[in-house]
Amino acid sequence: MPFGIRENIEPYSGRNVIEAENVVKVFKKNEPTHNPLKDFLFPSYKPFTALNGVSLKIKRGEVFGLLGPNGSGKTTFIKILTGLLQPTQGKVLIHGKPAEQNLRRIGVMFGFNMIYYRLTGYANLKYSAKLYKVKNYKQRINELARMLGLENWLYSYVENYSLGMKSKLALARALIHDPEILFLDEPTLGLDPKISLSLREDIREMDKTIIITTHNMEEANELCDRIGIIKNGSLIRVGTPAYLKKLVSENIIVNIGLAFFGNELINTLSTQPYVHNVSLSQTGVRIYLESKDYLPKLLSILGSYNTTSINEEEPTLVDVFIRLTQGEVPPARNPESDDEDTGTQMQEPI
Amino acid sequence: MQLIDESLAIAEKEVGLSVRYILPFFTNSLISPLIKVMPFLLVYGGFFSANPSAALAGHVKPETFIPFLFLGITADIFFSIGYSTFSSKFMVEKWWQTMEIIILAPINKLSLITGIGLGDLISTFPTLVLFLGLAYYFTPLGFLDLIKVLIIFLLLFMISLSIGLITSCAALFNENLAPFFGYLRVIISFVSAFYYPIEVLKTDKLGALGQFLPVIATFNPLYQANFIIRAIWFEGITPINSVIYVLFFAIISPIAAVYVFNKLWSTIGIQGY
Repeated sequence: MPFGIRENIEPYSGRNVIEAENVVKVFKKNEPTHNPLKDFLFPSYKPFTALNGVSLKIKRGEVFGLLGPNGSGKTTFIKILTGLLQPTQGKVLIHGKPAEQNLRRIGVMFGFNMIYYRLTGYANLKYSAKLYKVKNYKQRINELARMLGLENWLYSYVENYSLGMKSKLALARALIHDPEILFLDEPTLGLDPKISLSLREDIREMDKTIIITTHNMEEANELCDRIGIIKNGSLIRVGTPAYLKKLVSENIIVNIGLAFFGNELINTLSTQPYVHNVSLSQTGVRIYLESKDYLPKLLSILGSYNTTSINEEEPTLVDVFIRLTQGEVPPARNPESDDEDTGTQMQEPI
Repeated sequence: MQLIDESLAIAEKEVGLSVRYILPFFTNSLISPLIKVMPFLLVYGGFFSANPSAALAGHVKPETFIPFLFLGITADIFFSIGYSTFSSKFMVEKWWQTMEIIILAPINKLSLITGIGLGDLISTFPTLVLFLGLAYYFTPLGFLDLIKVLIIFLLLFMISLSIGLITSCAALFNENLAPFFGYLRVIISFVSAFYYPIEVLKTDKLGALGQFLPVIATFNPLYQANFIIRAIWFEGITPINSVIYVLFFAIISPIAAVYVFNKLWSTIGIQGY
């Protein structure tokens, strides 16, 4: 590492850089009764299980995506992996040791948090560089600014930055000490497509182990070697994007262009047992079918409508996500060994 | 060396944040302390105007009450800043969501005390110059004695920072406790006798309290620091026993504070995170 820290890090030769074993996190959730006096004198707490025995191994050089509905436990899991939170049960090891002993190896980005708006971009990066004992930090800051397109804004106050620039600055801050492992929590949240694309390109070019949480399926599909889908604190499936799509491969999506149609068509289609989902598209309707075998039945319903076009498409990761999180595809008994097809060659361990 | 680097980095960040808006920086450094000391100046001034030959206990006489109060306000400022800096900064950083930077950085948590302390010291420099300068104007003293006084102020500051780190746990781990630590500050301030000589409490009119409070103050390292400063400034003597006592606390308290902080951090975590 050219801008590495002054102290030497012990080399690690294991294949799995992150190992989480049966991680449980239970919070005490304050449930107010809306009686202020009672809430003050006798506050009521109920246990809330945010993570329910999550086990996961992430390999060196892998880009691992963590997907899940809001409140599913993604951010809680990331916080435990980085050492920000302690698990109620279970253990997390990075390079065979607890996270607190690996702070130099990890870089963390939580959206556009962890930056001081009252300081300049340069001051923010300099601060982190000094905390991580980065040699030649000026050179490193300039390099990151060039890489992420922040050169013209480096000496401006962050409060004047756009959302995209704040995200890039937060990413630069996470990268300042050239960490081996990067945790990115919703890195493109709230960003416009152009900035998102630019950030994804930057991430793709990094030769690091990356754990990324996102709601953006296109981003997950594009970036991730493997994806874990988490729901209600449990990891329900883990696999490559191709493998996860195979879980719903018997399904097809049919886009039907219609000259005109009304609500009665939507209602009729929605009630068919072989139709998983009906949504409107620009030209007509988008129908998620159980399988190709039901296409003739579908077409018979549409017979009385003026059909302008019919085309099929493969299920996307969005469809996988919806079906998995709605329970239409059962979760794996052991998600970690569910991954039959890793899809890509992992970097060989050092 | 590592501790120094980390402390300097934190101090630089703190000063950067402090001077971002320059007017509040100066009003907090200069005007707020003046407002705080004004009532005491008026009360003592009024008393000695009416009784020119009177003398209160300790070093409070017509010719010394002004520097007495300026030394007191300087000590109080160091105590107040040290006591409340961590809770206010941590609370703000919790809201700004920048607390994670410190948590995730590979630093010795002791550098939090030294770094934030150094940053506050730099920010408090105008105050120090003003009030010590005024005290010096009324009762000049030798250069060596001035250095000794500055060192004692630093030790007092270090002890206050250490207490502040523990009480800042309230800001981070359970905000419900914050008001109680606020009241604790008032109690500590009272038994540190920044603005009055402790001898005024040794009176039968206060009953048992009059016996009890001075004893508490005697064991309070902050009061001992005040005692040393006044002894050097007004009498030219350095009470060695008190210096050793204060030095002991100035060394032990940061270590103990960091230990307690780390322990609470790892067992309780940050409320709301």
